[in-house]
Amino acid sequence: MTVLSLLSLPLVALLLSFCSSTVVASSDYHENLLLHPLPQSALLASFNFRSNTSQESFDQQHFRYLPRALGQILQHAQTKELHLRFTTGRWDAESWGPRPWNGSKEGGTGVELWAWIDAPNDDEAFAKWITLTQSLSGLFCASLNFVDSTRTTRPVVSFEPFGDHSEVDQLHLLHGTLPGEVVCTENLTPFLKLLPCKGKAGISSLLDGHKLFDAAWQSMSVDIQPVCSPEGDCVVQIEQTVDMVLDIDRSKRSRSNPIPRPVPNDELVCDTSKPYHSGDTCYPLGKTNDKAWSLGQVFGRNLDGICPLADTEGSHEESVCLQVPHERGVYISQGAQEIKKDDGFTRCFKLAPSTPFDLSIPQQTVNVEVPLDEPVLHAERTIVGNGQERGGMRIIFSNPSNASAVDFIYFETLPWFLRPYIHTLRATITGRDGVSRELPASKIVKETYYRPAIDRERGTQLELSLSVPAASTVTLTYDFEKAILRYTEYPPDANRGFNVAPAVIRIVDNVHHAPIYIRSTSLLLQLPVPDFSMPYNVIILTSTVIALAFGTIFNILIRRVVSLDQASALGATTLKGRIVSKVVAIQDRFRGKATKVE
Amino acid sequence: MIDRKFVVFGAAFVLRLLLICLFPSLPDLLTGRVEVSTPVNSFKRHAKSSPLPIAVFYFLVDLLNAYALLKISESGQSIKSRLHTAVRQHVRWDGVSVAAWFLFNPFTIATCLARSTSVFTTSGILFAVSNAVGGNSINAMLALGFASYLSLYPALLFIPLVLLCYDRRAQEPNAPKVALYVVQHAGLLFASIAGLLGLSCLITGNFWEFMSATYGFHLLVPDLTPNVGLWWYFFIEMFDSFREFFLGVFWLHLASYVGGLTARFHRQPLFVITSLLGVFAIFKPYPSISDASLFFAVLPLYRHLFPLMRYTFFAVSAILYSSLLGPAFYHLWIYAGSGNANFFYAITLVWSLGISILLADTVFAALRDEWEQQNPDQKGAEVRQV
Repeated sequence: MTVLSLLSLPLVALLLSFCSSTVVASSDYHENLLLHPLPQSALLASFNFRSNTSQESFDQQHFRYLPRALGQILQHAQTKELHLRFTTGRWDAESWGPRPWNGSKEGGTGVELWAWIDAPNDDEAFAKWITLTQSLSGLFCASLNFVDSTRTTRPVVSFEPFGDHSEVDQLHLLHGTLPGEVVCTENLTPFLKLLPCKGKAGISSLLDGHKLFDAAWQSMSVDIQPVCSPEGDCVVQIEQTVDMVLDIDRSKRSRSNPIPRPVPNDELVCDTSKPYHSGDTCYPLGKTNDKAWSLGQVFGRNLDGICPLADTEGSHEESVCLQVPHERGVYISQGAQEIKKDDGFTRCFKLAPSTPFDLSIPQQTVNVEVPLDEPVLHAERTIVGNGQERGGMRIIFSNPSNASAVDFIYFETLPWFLRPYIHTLRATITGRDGVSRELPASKIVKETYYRPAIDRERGTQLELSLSVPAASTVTLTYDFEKAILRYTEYPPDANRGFNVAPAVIRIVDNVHHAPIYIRSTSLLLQLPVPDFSMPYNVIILTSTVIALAFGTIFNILIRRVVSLDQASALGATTLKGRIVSKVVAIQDRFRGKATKVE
Repeated sequence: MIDRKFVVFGAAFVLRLLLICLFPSLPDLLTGRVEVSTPVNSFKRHAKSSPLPIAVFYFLVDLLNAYALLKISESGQSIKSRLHTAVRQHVRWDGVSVAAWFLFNPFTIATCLARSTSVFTTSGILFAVSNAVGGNSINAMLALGFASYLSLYPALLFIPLVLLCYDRRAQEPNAPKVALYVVQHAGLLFASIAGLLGLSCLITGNFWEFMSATYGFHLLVPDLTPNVGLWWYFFIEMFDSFREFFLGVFWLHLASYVGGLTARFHRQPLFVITSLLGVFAIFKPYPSISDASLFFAVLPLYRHLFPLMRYTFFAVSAILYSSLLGPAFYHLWIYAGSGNANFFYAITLVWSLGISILLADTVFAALRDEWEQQNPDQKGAEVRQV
């Protein structure tokens, strides 16, 4: 038996390789890495993996590039379009400019999931949504099973399907967030396993949990949607992306000795124009972009050739691209080809198969900077106020453009224990002159969609359609009250506070047509906390007070009022009175005997 | 006499007006206080404010409440009812003094300035009683129906109130039988509540959702925002599996006083109402100082019992102590962070204890008064309860 199976192994391998080689010809898998050095010596690395499966083979459960585990979940939960995001950190738009993919591939801090589910009514859609979250929770090792009715919303105008859906499907959009979820390596491993080369070859071999989750900001995404050509041929497209912003200095620290150490005196870059600059005083200059780095240093790994399953024909042959000025020198491994693009900043590399690839940039002073666009809108959301009883939300939108107003949709979900008073919604507008004026909120808010919370059942859903005029800053504020919960409803670290999901901003850009998404950071909400050590004491003390009141009042009510004389007379007739009188009589008798003897 | 009345009512109005003019932030401050605003009566949870007209409206409701109190006091029902006459009839306050005691009570002023909706429940109860002592039993039932529709718990006042109406009716010729009278009035109360509920359902549309959002809120106590009562911390700390059981126990406990007090004081139904208002101020699910202020408002009707009370000093000290320390301890917990929830909880215990001592003492004094009435020769003698 064992001999037979051993003998058959090469045959199976041969068959497999034959099989794969025939399909490779019609392969539809692309992977791409874009490296973009950002100001403040940061490096944005955007990994993109995309594959298509025809709708027929998807329906027949013939999976090739689409992972079977994920495909079956989608079919079981009748999910037509799925978007899943794992994000940590904060995108610093002030220094890094607009977000990669216009924000469409990123999520709010933690885990964010939204899907279009085909179901005849809302209840069935919700049941399938629960099935979906439970299954994805197992697949991605994330707490997605905690996406219950209180964390699920049905946005009305904030999201639109990316895919092409047939008219007969009754699609329901459901959206859930887990702002407190800590994204880490246990989520990266299943994410990489979904890829055809599973992180063993191709650009995915660069992905290492130590570096990815040490990044200043990172976002992993999985998008599955049907895409149809004008002729009506439909494919199911799965697109996975990983975007990360690495601090080059931090990433270059060796793993065996990661402790940051002070820069030696002679390596300090000081601002010599300061009057107090001397041998022992230094005003450090900001980080510059001319640092030397290489792929191996920054990612801690080498790029192991190309993924053999990827489509290497045609325009997608360049799997690694780098955005630095052309005047900057770049050294690449032997066998790889460099192709400079006409824009003066982009160069792409054609990798040699099954040869490790590395890319290194020496330290060099450059005069040209890669131009960085200004984001269309800056948004910031904070909780204001003090105390654990009530607070306020403040959302600041600033439009940097001098020419045009920006229209967008502001979407936020609030947990039920944060009770907003929407009638306190106020808007203040500040121009470039710094003078702020209070406006009626209706001047800024064109449309409101508000679904109030129900305690312990669902959260608040608020969607506002807003317009911020050119060169101005709009501040929205509203008050809220914090509920106090039952002691079992608090997490073990109750004093840390509760996470409030980030707000999602969808900018309807008439020029680019594709929407731009911005997400605020998540918030920490401090709730009043009871004393967790006290349940028995409280039950006992409150019951004592109640018993005292009840006992006193009913004791008074059921007894008769009598005068003192009557009381002593009555006392003689009661059992106690009789016993006492007997005892006294016996005592008297003994005393009487004693006197007789004397 | 007329002049005194005008002076008291006018001064009360002017005092409230002065307070909001001199301290414009005072109403909002009071609206935010947990001692005044509970989840069921908070003004902020209801509406957008347009300050002065609404404030003046609340002042007028307060004056109307005081007027109802004045009517109750002038009827003399608390001194001399059909079946009972107090021994110390001369020890009493007149109607204007009782109204002034209500109008200048800081608790009443705070409730009024905070625009708490309990003011309307108070109105319903006081008008029900004033109509009952005035012999207008139909209006009394309608007013009680209004109060019960607003806050549910005033429905517990039905039995003593209908007895009070009957006392008045029995003094006239052709008095009907008690049972029939009670059934008729119960029908009237149900009709008035049903009418108001029907009206609300026409407005809100969904009957069950409306009921669970309003009366379910009173009955099941889902909101555990701190207040001066005993329920909130108890149900925060309660184990989940026993929550329903203790909700039942607490409500039964609240209702049990109705039977006990009515049975013992069936000759003085107005006293039953007074003491039940005290019970509500301690044991209802979301009590606030407005409930205490209502109890303190009706207490002076029994001025003649004061000489018979034994623990007045202790009760008053406990109430003053907790009213002063309550806000301080709440601040320590919520804002300063230097104290925890137990600080405020302890104060609510003292507050409840203070009012329950006062209540028990009043009940004792009333019993002693009844006894003295039956034994006139023993007036002033030391007594015991056996």
